[in-house]
Amino acid sequence: MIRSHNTRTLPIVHGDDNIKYVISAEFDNKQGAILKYQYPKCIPGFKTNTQGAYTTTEDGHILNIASLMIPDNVERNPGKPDFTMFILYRDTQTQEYKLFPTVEHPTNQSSNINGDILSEQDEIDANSEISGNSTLNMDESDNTLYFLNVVNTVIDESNERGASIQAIGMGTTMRNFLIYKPLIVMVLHYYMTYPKQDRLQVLIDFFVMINSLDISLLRTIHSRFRLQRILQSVTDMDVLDTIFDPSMVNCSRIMKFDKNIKEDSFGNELIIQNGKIAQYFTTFHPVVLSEFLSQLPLKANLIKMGPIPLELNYNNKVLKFLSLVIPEINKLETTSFVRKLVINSTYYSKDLISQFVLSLSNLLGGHSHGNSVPYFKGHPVLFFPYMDISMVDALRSHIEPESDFAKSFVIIGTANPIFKFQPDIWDFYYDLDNELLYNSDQAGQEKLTLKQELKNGTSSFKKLLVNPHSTTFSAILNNLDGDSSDLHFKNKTGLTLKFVQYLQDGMHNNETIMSAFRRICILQIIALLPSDNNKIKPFTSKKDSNNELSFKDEYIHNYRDFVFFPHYFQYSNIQIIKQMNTLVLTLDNLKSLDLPVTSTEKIYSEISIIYEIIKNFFITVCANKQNLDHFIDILLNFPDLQLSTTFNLRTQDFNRLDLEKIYKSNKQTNYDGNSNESLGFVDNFIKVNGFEYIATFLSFSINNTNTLFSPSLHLKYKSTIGRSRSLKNIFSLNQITSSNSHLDHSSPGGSPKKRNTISNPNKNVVGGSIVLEKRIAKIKRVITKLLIKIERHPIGTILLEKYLSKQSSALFTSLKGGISKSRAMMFEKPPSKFNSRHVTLPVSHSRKTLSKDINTIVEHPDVSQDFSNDTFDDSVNISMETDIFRTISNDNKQDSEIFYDAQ
Amino acid sequence: MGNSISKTLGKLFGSREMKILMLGLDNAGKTTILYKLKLNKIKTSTPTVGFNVETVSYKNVKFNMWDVGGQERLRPLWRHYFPATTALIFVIDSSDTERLNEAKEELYSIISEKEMENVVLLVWANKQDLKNAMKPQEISDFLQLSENLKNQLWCVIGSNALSGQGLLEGLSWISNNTSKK
Repeated sequence: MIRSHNTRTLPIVHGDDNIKYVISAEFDNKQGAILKYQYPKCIPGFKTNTQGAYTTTEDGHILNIASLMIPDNVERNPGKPDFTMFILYRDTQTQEYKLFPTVEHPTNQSSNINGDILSEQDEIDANSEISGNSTLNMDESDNTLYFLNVVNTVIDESNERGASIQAIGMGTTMRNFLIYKPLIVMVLHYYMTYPKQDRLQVLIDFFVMINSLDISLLRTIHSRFRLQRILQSVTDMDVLDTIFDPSMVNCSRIMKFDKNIKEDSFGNELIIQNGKIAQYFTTFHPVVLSEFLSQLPLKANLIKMGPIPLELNYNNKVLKFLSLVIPEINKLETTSFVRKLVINSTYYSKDLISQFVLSLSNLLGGHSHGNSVPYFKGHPVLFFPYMDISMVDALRSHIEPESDFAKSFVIIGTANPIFKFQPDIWDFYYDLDNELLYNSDQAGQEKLTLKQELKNGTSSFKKLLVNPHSTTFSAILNNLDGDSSDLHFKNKTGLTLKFVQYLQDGMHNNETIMSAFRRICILQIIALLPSDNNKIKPFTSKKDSNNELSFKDEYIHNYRDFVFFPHYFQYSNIQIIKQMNTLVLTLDNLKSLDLPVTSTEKIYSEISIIYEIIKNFFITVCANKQNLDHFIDILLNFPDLQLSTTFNLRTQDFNRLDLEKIYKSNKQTNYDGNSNESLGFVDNFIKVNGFEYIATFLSFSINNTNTLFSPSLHLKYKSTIGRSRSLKNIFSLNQITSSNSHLDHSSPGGSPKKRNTISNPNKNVVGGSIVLEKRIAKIKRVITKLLIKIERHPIGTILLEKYLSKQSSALFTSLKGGISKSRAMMFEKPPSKFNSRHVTLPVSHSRKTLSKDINTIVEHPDVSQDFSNDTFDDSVNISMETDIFRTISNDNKQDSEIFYDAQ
Repeated sequence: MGNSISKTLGKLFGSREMKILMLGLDNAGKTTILYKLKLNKIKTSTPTVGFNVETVSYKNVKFNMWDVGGQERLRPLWRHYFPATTALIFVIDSSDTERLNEAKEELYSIISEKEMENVVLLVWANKQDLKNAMKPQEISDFLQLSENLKNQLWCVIGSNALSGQGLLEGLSWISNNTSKK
């Protein structure tokens, strides 16, 4: 028999890409939980002795991972397998794995606890979407191992204690480790029923079996995280049906695989259908495992739902938790909030507890970068899906005030209520069984002593703790630069909390819940954007990145709603969100203009804003594929602005407001003219509007007598008092006509002074302005090119077909035809000078350099033609971009000339 | 509000709650005792992984009884269960004379902790039904509690978890010897 301490001698039969380790544990009647086997070798950092394997923390605490595999009370449900999950973090210096992460060194890209973690997020983001043969990105580095363990108790008369308790676990870098659940539970069955002498071979068979598959296709698809974000944002079944049509034409094109693929590179049968991939262990031949096991496929969804795909339905328990924790967080009087959260259940399975903790990780955008998630002020979030009491001392040391993780946000799952009696390790303790949230300060100095609890009676104590008016939070968190200037917000119901109620009432699924949360996040970002800064810049800079960090913190501090999408806080995404917001409001403003008395100057000002925005969108998405992905992601999630224009989301208390009623009363019709009365409030809220927002201007015309848009393309809602006020307050659009402030900031290549002197002889007459007509035509042309760019995205055609109204779609098709013709004519011309001059301004692939280059283009449109083909991703785009740069360049020149004429 | 009502009712009817910590070596019979008291049934014997906690009501007293596994690796974890304990019940397998010294060492290790200096100690000399079981007095003599535990209330009672012998007697002793405040 080979035990854990000498398994190093075992040969590694196959690769270990899919799972790195298989381990087993058992409950020894005399010793307790012990690690039995580790294969193919001992996990670095887990020393072994005759009693099994353990690890020692830097503080000398001995941790036994077997206790995480054999969880508390597992003996109570014989015959019912349960699952636990835990995470091991590799110390990049010692190369050893630990249960608690260590502070990484600044040289490591994914580290940096106190530094500007987000400062290079764009860069990381841009570079890490996989390509070619690479199967791993930062999401799935070797530095983090996710362990999925299955445990079972079997009544065993031959055992002196009457039962045998065994567990096996597998460690993988893959975050979708739950796909192994059906297999590992069967392997445990065999493991427990086979003779002891065959058990190690069962583990070896399992290891070899899993690694006999080449799942690089799945991992590649899953690691395209920007594409995955886009796919996650698609909630319409008909779009998904189109993507995953039986012919697999779309699916294979979007996900970049051969639609005729029948087997993996190792020769195993592979079937892709209905958005799932199934891989059979065709080439695997077990030594002791049943052949039956190898006939089952490994199945996975092609869309990776969330950072860690889970089986848990958020609607029930997770939303309930949010409904309790958000008000408590709001009451905190510091800029920080919950730091240590313990989730306990003695009733539910450890599987549910673990997944519950991981679901909170997903809501916080968890595990997005490296080992830990940077959260408030860059401090990481640490997740322990399941922890037992044996680790409490090590945890205490890990988060003590002097430690590197003193200010980290810790979420712990456990099945032992004795954690409640360790109040120094939690700020909030959530009793999942009774749906009660305790906070550590409410009982003051007697907090959670049994004496106090018994005096009160259990139920009354619970009531005391959940009484929302009895809280005065301690100074535990006060060391985080707190201020109490916002105490008046502490009892308000924010937008997220309000939506939690609607989502609970509507029993919505996870996709809808996450869609709603994404839109709320964008709305709240918009509400937080400074009103006096409408600068439109396509890319970030180092300085801006530092601001990004503080903006994210400001967001967390302001809204305190637990839910968070880190990628929306990348500077470039914030810019897109900001400009989308301005675009929608400007379109709305245009629609509300009083015709025919509105001056041409006024209309020109408004459409110039649109022009600048669309132009910048186009420059942005042309710069690289990453920007296009981000742009489409935001279009898919860009919300109806009614809530942000009607309410101040930072301060509004939604508690007594019936949003559904307000929404209905303000809403007229969709862009496509179809009534959406049949949809519920939440379903309406998560409708995709972004693409139509972009295309709306295609129907703009100054030749109509009463309206600037075709009748069927009315904007979503009428002007309301709230919106108008909001327009003035937030975007100061009332100043536009007088100062053209948008143009001043946003047209670096233009001549602001000249523009400010615009004087149109046709003032007070809507039609008849050549300037206006030319500008409108230009905007439509850029919009068309922007839509073409979107269309060229692998999923673009499907999205445009679904989300553009019929009229916009028709207009787009028509205008696209015109552009194709002009482009064809352009190609017929002799080689243009930019081809010969491209060496004069070489472009780097680095984001920073590229940013500089793009700014140069904008500032010096005449050299825009100098760019080499390398800048863009295909030759067609090059021609388009050259075209648009030329258009922009000529446009500025023409405008100036015309202004002179007008003067 | 809930607090004061509970308090008033408690005073009126003399009801109390207390946390009882039940420890002992593995296979001493702790879980069997717990469920005999709770359900008056003999639960299928399986080793306790971690802990069991049940509330047993007896004579207007609610005993929140924590039964913690006694395997070697679980013993260092016992101290996490010490806070707010009113009474310690230490269960000994009276027939397992080979491990009696080990049990004694563990018992002294527990009661020497500062957190446990004010708790009352009940020792259940369990498995009295077995032929080779030592008598409660013998267990008491072996443990030398009278010599070493002069400032703490203690008692050794013989018990048989299967029949329930000595169990209620033990709870009565705890009830009678703990503060009613």
